[in-house]
Parts: sequence; C-alpha cells; structure tokens
Amino acid sequence: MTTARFLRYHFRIISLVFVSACVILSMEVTAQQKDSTIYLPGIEVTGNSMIRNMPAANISQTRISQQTSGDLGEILRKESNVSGIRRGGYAIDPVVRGFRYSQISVFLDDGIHIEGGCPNRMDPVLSHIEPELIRQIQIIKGPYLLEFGPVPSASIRLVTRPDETYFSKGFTLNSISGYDVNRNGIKQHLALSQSGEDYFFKASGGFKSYGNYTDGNGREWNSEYHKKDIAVDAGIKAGKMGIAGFSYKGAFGSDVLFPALAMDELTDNTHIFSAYLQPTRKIDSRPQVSASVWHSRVYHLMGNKFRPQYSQVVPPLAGIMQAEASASTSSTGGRIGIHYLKGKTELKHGLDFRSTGKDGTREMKMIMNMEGQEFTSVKRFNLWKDARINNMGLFTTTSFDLQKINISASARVDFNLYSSGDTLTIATSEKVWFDSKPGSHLLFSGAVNASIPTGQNSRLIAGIARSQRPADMQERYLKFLATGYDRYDYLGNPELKPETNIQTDLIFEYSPDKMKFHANIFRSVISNFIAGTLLPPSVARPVSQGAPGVKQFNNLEKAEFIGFEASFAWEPVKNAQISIASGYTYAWFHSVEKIIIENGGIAGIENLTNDPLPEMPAFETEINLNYEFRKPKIKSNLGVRMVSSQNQISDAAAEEKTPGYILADISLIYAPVRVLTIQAGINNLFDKAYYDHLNRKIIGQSERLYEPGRTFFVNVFFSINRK
Amino acid sequence: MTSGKLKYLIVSINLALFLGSCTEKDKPQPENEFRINFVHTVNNINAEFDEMIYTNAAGNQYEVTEIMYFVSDLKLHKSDGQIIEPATWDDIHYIDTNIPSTLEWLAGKNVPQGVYDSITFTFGISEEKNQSFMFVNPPEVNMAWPEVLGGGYHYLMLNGWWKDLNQVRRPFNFHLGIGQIYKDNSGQVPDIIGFIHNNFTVRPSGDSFSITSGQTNTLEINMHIDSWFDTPIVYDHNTFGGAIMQNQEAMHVGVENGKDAFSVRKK
Repeated sequence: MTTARFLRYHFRIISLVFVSACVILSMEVTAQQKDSTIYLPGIEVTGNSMIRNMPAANISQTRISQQTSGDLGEILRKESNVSGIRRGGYAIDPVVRGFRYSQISVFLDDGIHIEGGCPNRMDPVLSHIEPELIRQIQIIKGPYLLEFGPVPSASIRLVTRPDETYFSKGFTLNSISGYDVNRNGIKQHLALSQSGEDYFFKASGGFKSYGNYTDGNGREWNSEYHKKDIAVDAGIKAGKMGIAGFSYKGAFGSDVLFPALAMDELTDNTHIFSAYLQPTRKIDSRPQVSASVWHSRVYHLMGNKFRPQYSQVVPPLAGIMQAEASASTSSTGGRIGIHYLKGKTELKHGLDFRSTGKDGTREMKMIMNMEGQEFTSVKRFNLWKDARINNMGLFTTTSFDLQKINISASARVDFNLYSSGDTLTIATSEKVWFDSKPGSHLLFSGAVNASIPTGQNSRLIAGIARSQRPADMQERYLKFLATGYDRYDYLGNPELKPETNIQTDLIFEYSPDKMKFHANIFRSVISNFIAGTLLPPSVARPVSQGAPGVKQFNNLEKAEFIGFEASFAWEPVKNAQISIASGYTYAWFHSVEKIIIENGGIAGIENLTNDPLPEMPAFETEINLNYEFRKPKIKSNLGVRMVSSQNQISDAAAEEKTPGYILADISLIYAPVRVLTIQAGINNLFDKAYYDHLNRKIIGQSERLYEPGRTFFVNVFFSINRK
Repeated sequence: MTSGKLKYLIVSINLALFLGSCTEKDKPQPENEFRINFVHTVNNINAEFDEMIYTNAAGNQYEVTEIMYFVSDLKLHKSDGQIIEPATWDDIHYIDTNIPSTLEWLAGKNVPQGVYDSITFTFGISEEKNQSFMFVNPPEVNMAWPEVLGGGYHYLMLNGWWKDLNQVRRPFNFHLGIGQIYKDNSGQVPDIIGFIHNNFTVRPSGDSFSITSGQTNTLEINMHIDSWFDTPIVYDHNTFGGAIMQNQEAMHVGVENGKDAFSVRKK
C-alpha cells in the first residue's frame, strides 16, 4: 500500500485526530492572553503611499508559502473579488472583479512581461513563476498603477526581486517540502544563498509532481501536472546607486492535463532574464535612478496524445484524429525612471519599452480506414506568423498633500505598434474580414486618487481612472483556435480599436481599536469592449474539433461593471483574530449578439441588450478565525468560504446557473524548533462536491469540471542561517 | 479651495459617475425564413432502408442503408434572369438520412418575395471550397476524402447492398468525390498523376414557386435514389463492384446520372 493509499484509507481517523487536536487547542483561546502579531488578511495592504490610496490587496510571502497549492491562480482565488477560471488541475487563470486575460496586467517586479505560449491559456502568466520565488503579490483592482506599463483594468504585480535585506546574511538554506494526499502530490523547493556586506548570491530550484485529484463525489479527474524550476539571483551594492543585480528564472512544465480543453500541455519551458539597478536610499530631493532590462521566452507544446481519439476511433468519428500545436514567444523590454521629492511633493517620471513576438504552428492528422485501405491526411498551418507588438510608454506620477487630503496622480502615454508576417486574407464581396496589415495606436491613461481623512481612525478614498488597452496578440492575430469558454474557434482581428476603461472607486476605511473595517464600491465602463462575434460559416469554418463555429474578436459598444468589496477584522482577545471579507461584481453588455441554434446547427444571430457578461464570479464571503498559541507555539486557522449561486447569467452565451457552496478549511502551524516549522491541514473538510461558476465544462460534454474534494496536506519548512 | 469643499467635490464627482444603468432585455423580431426539406424516394415512393426490395435498371436487386451528401451554392432563379443566393449564412449543407435534423435546412432569411422559375445547387462542394480539414466535427468530418486521393470531402456516400450474379449479398459504397487519373490506369495510389473534380450543378425538375414575405417558405427537394443507377447511363454494380472511390469511370457515370436525380416542389 502506497503512502497516498494508506492516508486515503485512514482518512477519517486522521481527520478525527486532527480536528480533535484543533478543538482541544481552541478551548485554550480565552486562557491565552500573551502578545501576538496581528494578522488581518482581509484588508492587508502595504506599499508606498500611492498604492495605499488604491483599491489594492497584498499577499505576503508567508501566506503564499503556507498554501497547499503550487498554483498561484489558486492562491489568488482566496482574495476578495478575485476568482479564477479552472480548465484542469493547474494554471487557474485569474479574474479580478470580472476582468480577465489581457484586461489584467500581470507582471514581475518593475514590468517584466511574459507572453504565454498557449492560445487556450494553459499557461497564463502566473503559471510561469513558482510561488516559492515570490516575495509579495500586489493586486490593484483598477487601472491605477501606471508606472510599470500599460494597465487595462487591473494589475497583478509579482515582487520577486531581492532588496537590501538580502545583504549581510551569511549562508542561508531554506527548504519547503509538501505533500497533498488527494492528488498524491509532492513538492520540494530548496534555496541556498550566501551574502556579505556588499554582495549576495542565491540559487534555488524545485519540483512539483501532482497526480489526478478526486472530487467530493469520489470521481477522479485527469488533472495531473509536473513542474520543475530553477532560479539564480546575484547582486552587489553599487555605491550610492543602490543595488545592481542579475536574475534568471526557469520554469519547466510537462504533461499538464486539461480535461476542459481539447488538448493537454506536453511541454512548457520558460526562461526569464533580467538585470537591474535599484535604489535603496530614502527618497529626498536628489533624484534616484532605477533602471532595468529584461528578456523572457516561452516554448509551449500541446497535443491530444492523452486523449482516446489520438489512438483509436471514437464514435461518432470515423477515423483517428491527432492534433499538436506549438508556440514560441519572446518578450524584451526595459525601464528607466527617476524618483525624487520636490518640496513635499513626491515625483516619479520614466519611460519603458516592450517588444513581444509570437510564432506558432498547428498540425492535424486524420487516419482513416476506407474500403480496406488506411489513408492518412495531414495539415499544417500557422497559429501566428512572426506576430509582433511593440509598446513604448512615458509615465509620470506624483503624490502630495493638499491640506489634509493626500492626492496621488499618474499619467502615461503609450505608442503601440503591431505587425504580423501572416499572409492569410479572408475577404468576401462585402468586406475584408481578416488581413494582417501593420498598424499603431496612441494610448492615453490617467488616474487620480484622493485620501480624505474623515475622523481620527477613518478615511475616505476616491479614485478615478481612465485607461486604454490595445488588443493583445491573441485578439489581433490568432487563427482558429477554441480559446474562449464557449468552444467556438476564434479568429483575430487586426483592425481592433483599443478598449477604454473609465473607472471610479469609493473606499471607506475605519480602524477603531483592534478592529478594521474596509468597504469599496466601484463602477467601470468599458467602451470598445473586445469580445467574439460569430462569423458566418460561409466566411470561416472551425478548425478545432468540437468547435461549433468561428467567432472573430470585435469591438462591442460598451460593457459595464459595478460591484463592491467589504471586509471586517477584529481581535476579540489577544492572539485571536476574526476576519470577514466579501466581494461581488455585476457586469453587463449594452448590446451583444446571441447565436440561434436550430437542429444542432447555427441558424443565425439576434441582438440582445443589457445582457450579463458570461463567466462572472458569484457573490462570495470568506471568514477566517485565527488563534496563536504560545506554548506549544502553534498557529491555528479555520477558514470558511461561502459562495452564493450564480443566477445572473448570460443569455447570449447560453450560460447555465451554478449552485452555491460552502467550504471549510482547517490548518495548524507548529514550530518545535527555530529552524523547523510544520504545517498540516485539511482543505474541503466536509468533502463537498462542487464546482465554481468559472470552471469550464469538460470537453465534449455539458458537465462542469469539479473542484478537488477533501485533502489532507502537510508542509515542512526548514531554515538554516549561519553568519 | 478649502479642504472641506475639495472633499465634497471629489466625493460628488465619484458619486455622479456611479449613476445610470438599466438591465432590461430587448429581443428583436424574428426574420422571414426560407427552408428546404430533403426527402428520398425510390420509384417516387419514400425510400425504405435496409430492405432488399429494389431493382435497378441494370437488374441488380439492391437495398439502401444510408445516404450522406453535401449540397452547396444554392441559387434561386427568376424568369427575368435575376439570381438570388439565399444561403448567405452557410453556403454548404450536409444531409444524412441517419440524422433527421439534417433533413431540414434553414437556407436563408429575408429572401425577396416573388415567383421563382427554378433553383440550382452544386451537388457536393466546389473545387474552390472543398478543402481538407474544413470540417473537423462529426458528422461532416466523417465525409473526409483521403488527401492522397484528392483531399476535401465526399460529395456523396450512398451505401447499401446488392445481390451479385451468384445471388450473393454484397456491400456497395457508391461514393462520389474527387476522382484520380492513374498512370497506365493502374489504380495504384503511387501512380496518381492528376485529379478530376466531380462536383456538378443540379437544376431539379419541378414547377415554379413563389416566396411570400412575412412567413416561412418551404421547398421540398426529392432525391430519386433509383436515378443514380439510371438515366442517362445504366449503372451495373456487377460491372463496377462495391467500391468506386478510385474508379473515375464509375464516378463519372454517377455524375451524369445525378444531374437528373432531383426534383423540387413547394410545400
């Protein structure tokens, strides 16, 4: 009997022992009155004064490392009004306030961009970085953070770069090991570093090997994944200039299964190089210069070799269908900025550049047996051909006090150029539908945030921003792949206009003694919203198996988003915290087309007005109870996630309602000695069988992909430091 | 401006921007429709499948198990020479006697009203449009024609059984698609030196018909199965055998016979 089987077999006993331990320890809550660190996850925001005035959330390194999952998308999903699209066991694609894909700018440090290779988004940006390499995640829920590149409707910044705390540490070894029973998944990450007064060097690497998970009904889903990573960081103190450093990160995925997609990821190799100059001294009137250059590249290979139709005739097919697609991307960029005080006004100015290229091909093979003979037909064609998007931007930000009101303002202008070497032209007598000629856009973005004190412990923050997002590589140049939730093949559109988002936020914060209250309402109006519209089959027919037709990306007139986040945290007794956080977004199209299906085929389209956007997360609330014991030194957490049913569904997209669910997770963290910390817990304690509204359907079926059922997990943190 | 006034100004601007939205759904009126129903007959009587009850002009006893085919590029002709192409949405339609839903085709909407003299369509798919991997989903994908034999898709699969000269029940696959020219008529794939596109235009027999605005107008296209084996050339299964994908001579007979295998009437 393997360890996994043993643990599964004795799961009830293990659970009982674990829960009993938690209950016994919880009985001591009122007896513990010693000092503890306040941990208020619902409203934890750090960063500079500008970020503090934005609708933002922060996830610390500690919180990241204590997650069961090795998937950053899954970790982000725990944030208020942040959700994720699940297509398999890995690479959950983040959705922030209902915004997704290129509407969210996901980048590393000061703007490092990674262009995913997969048109089906098997490899969203977050999947190219391992959680162990991240020091902090900043989520800005709006187009406010303009200093690190063009921002569409939200930003997710992954801070990985070492800072001055990395110096003078001597030799350090950090190890993170983990085991997940449900998936029979194991992870191991090791980091070695050596630093002196003027230098540091760090090398790290690890692997994750996770099997299929089982849902609450006991059904196993083809969801295994395997990843390896390696990273090197080196830096020196460059006098008054700060830190001069170099960084490399490599991530290598293989055999990542996606039951909700027509293919699986066979290989995904990522390389990220960067060199930087980073100021460390406190800001004053002398300008500080920051500079960086970077290069990232991704090779992605996917295919259907794990599917039955690859090797056998699966009715109603009459032949064997084999498909493989590969894509290579590269992105190169740089940024230079100055930061200084003029009087009491903080100023930052700079420019950045990014050049992103993408190439991809697809091969389809059909093996048929006809009249006693075997015939093989093969077709190869481009997904992208020398597609390139260049972006150059100038930005300026300022922060100052106007009497008691703190105001921060940002502006940026971008020059966006795009081109493709593709020779495909689709034209009919009425119009040209696709012609990959080059073009450019000049984009203007701006944001103002004002923090207004309303009392000794409260403040009101108002924010307004306008941003423009040019079409991404997929929306502009993709050729015939089922990339959306609806299984239609999608065709790019080189003529797309930029999306323009005008967003307003109102935030109220109140922090009386041992309490924190935070509420944020927002409204976002997006004009020229980029979405797919159906092409007549006489213009284009689908190429992907299972795709009922072809949609082309087009600008819709308008979409509106309105919603809120609210959280409350309280320390009722010392060492104990309670936090509650909720979030919801409602979004709708002013006008959208609905496809009429008749006799199983597409019979035409009709227009709907004020129809909800598809794939919008349901209302959800997260409750966390934390208690920190001193003797023995144990931290305990009980988390409850309540998600309502989603009944606001898109008629145009023929969406189906999703029932709500309640989950409970429980965990303990124990540090027997200074160098060792052990975390153990149970996720989905009651083995609830459920799926989220954003979970995709299984390919070829109407059934949704279920989430993992109950799992027992253990993480072991080992750390040695010798000066 | 004082701090207080500024405070109210900022909040007022923000609140103003939150105003204004509605979520009522409006649906437009349905459009005028032009539909075609496909029926299949033998000797002008609805075909019965899987019954060895028919005899063709060559004297072969035969039965039909299934028929699959494409029609495309539908045109409506007026007596004054005006031609209307109603199928602006999808110009290729697949018919499968195993799938009842394919026997009805919403061929167009808002077709100009008036009297039409006749219709024409391409039986199969034109050379320009008949590209391999154009269809990737069942059932159409199963009509794929091997790349080495010309690629694209079958125009017709008419499958059944006949009794040979020894009264042995043998299968026939009366399939039409791109034909091949073989060096020295070898019939071997490596000897293929050219291809022949066997798609053809059909003008079904039948009376003129009218299209009326504001209602569903339905035509019935009848495939006379027996005609594939008769007029103008008598087709003998004992001569051509059960499989003709690599037999251009047999397919050519099929092409000639297929041109008068259809009739049309207004329902």
